[in-house]
Amino acid sequence: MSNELLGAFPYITLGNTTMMAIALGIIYLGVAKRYEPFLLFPIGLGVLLANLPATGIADDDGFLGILRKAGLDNELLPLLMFLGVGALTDFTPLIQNPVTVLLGAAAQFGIFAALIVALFLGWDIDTAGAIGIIGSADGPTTIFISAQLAPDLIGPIAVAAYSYMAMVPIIQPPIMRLLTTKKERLVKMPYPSQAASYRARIFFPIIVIILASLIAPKAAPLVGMLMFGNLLREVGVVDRLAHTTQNELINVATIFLGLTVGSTMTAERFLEIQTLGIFSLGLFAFSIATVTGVLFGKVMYYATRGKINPLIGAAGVSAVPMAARVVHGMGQEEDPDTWLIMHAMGPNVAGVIGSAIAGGVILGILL
Amino acid sequence: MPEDFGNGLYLALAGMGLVFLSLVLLMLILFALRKLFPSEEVKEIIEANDNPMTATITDENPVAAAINEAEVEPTIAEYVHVESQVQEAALSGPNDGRIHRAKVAAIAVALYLDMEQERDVAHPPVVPSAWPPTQDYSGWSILGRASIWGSQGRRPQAYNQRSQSAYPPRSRMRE
Repeated sequence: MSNELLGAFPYITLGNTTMMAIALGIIYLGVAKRYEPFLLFPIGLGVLLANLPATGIADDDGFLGILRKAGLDNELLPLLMFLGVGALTDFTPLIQNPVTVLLGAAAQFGIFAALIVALFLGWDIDTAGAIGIIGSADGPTTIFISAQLAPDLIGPIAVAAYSYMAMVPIIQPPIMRLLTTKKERLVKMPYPSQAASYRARIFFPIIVIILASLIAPKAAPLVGMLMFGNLLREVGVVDRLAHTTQNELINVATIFLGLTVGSTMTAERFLEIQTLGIFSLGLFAFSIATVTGVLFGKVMYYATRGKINPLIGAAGVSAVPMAARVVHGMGQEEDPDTWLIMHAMGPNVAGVIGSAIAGGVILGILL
Repeated sequence: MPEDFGNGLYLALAGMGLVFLSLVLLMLILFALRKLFPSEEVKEIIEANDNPMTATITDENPVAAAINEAEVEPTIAEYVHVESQVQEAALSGPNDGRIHRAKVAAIAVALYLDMEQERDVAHPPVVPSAWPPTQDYSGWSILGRASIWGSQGRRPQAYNQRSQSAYPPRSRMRE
C-alpha cells in the first residue's frame, strides 16, 4: 500500500540514475552541440524512457518493446531509412568521375582493421564484426549489421557510430594534415563541364543492385533499398514518391529507429566495461578508415601525376555529407580558391555503397 | 592468439577483396555508361556538328552572328541589321518543314525590339517628380496631409478602446 503511494521512487537504482544521466548527456549532445541531432535526440529520449523505473515501457509488451520487435529486430527500420538516404543522395559526382569509386573502397579497411583488433581483445567473431562495422560511418548499415550479429550491443554500437559521425570534423583533419604535404593539399581539380546523362543516372542504380547482390547477396536489402530510393529521385516521373521518401518516410523511420535503439540501452546492458571497448574501437575504426582513404588518395595523386587531391580520400568513409564538407573546408583552408566539395562527394557516396557491400560480405561469411 | 583469428583474417581479406572487386567493376561500368550515354550537352554538340540546320554562331551564319551582337548591345544600326536579316530569314521560309533555330531566335529578338520601341512611343517614360517638392509648404499643411493619408481606410477607434490619459495632450507635449 505504502509502496503504491510512493510511485516509482522505491525502484530507483544507481544503474537507472546513471542511465538517465547518460540519456540527458546524449540529448545535450544532440540539442546543444548539434551532434547528429536527428538521431541522437530520439536515441537519448529512448534511453531515458527505457530506464525510467517500474514503467515497463521497454519490456517486450511495452510500447517501445512492441516498436522494437516490429521495426528493429527484423531490420525493417534501418532499411526504410536507407530508402530515404538513397532518395537524398546524388550519385552524379561519382558518374562524372568514376575513378573516385576506388577511394570509397579503400576507406572500408577501417571496418576490417577494427574487427581484427576486436578479436585480439577477446570478443567473439560475431561481436567483432558488429563493432568493426562502426568504421563504415553509416548509421543504417551499422544498425542493420549489428542487429543481426550482436543484438544486445546494438545500443552502444549505434550511439558510438552516430557520435563519431558527428565528430568527423574533429577526428579527420589532424589525420589528413599529418598524412599529406602542403603541395598535395593545394592540388586543384577541374570540374567536369557536362552533367551526367539521364540514362546513365537511371542505369547506374539498377546495375549496382544487380552487381552488389551477385557479389554479396546479404547486401541486397541495403543496396536494393538505397538504389530504389535513388531511382525514385532520378527517374523523374514519381515526384510524389520521391518527395515522400526524402521527407515523411525517412523522418518517421528516424523517429522510431532512434527511440527503439535508445530503448535497448538499459543499465544492465550498457553499464559494462565492454561499452568503453566498443567506443574505443569505433574511434579506431574511424581513424583507420580515414588513414587508408587518404593513403589511397596519395597513391592516386602519384598515379595521375598530381591531378587528384589526396584529401578527397578521407571522404571515402561514408558520413555523407559531413566527410566531404570537411575535405572541402580543409582544401579552402590551404587556398580559398580550392573547391573540392563535388570531387569529395564521389568517394563519399561510393563509401556508402562500399560499406553496404562490406556489411553484406561480413553477414554472408558469419551467418 | 585468439581461436577466431584465422577466421577473422580470412573475413578481412575476403571482405576487402570483394569490396574492391565490386567497386572496380562498378568503376568500369561507370566508364562504359559514360561512353554509351554521353551527357545531354555533349550529345547536343555532336548533333550540332552533324546537322547543318542547327544554329552555330560563325561568319557563315550571319543571322546568328547578328543576334549575338544585338543581344550584347542593341543599337539602332544593329536593330536595323537584325531586322533585315529577319526579313531574309522569313523570305527564305521553312526548310523541310522545320524552321531554322537561328531564324526563330532572330524573330524573337526582332519582336522584342519592336515591342519595346512601340511601348516607348505610346507611353513616354515618366520622370518621377522630386520629393520633397521645391515649392515651400508650411509645416501644418504637411502634418495635415499626413494625418489625412494616415486615417484613410481606418475605422475610428471605439470610445471605450481609446486611451484615457489623465493629462491633456498639450501638457504631454510640454514634457
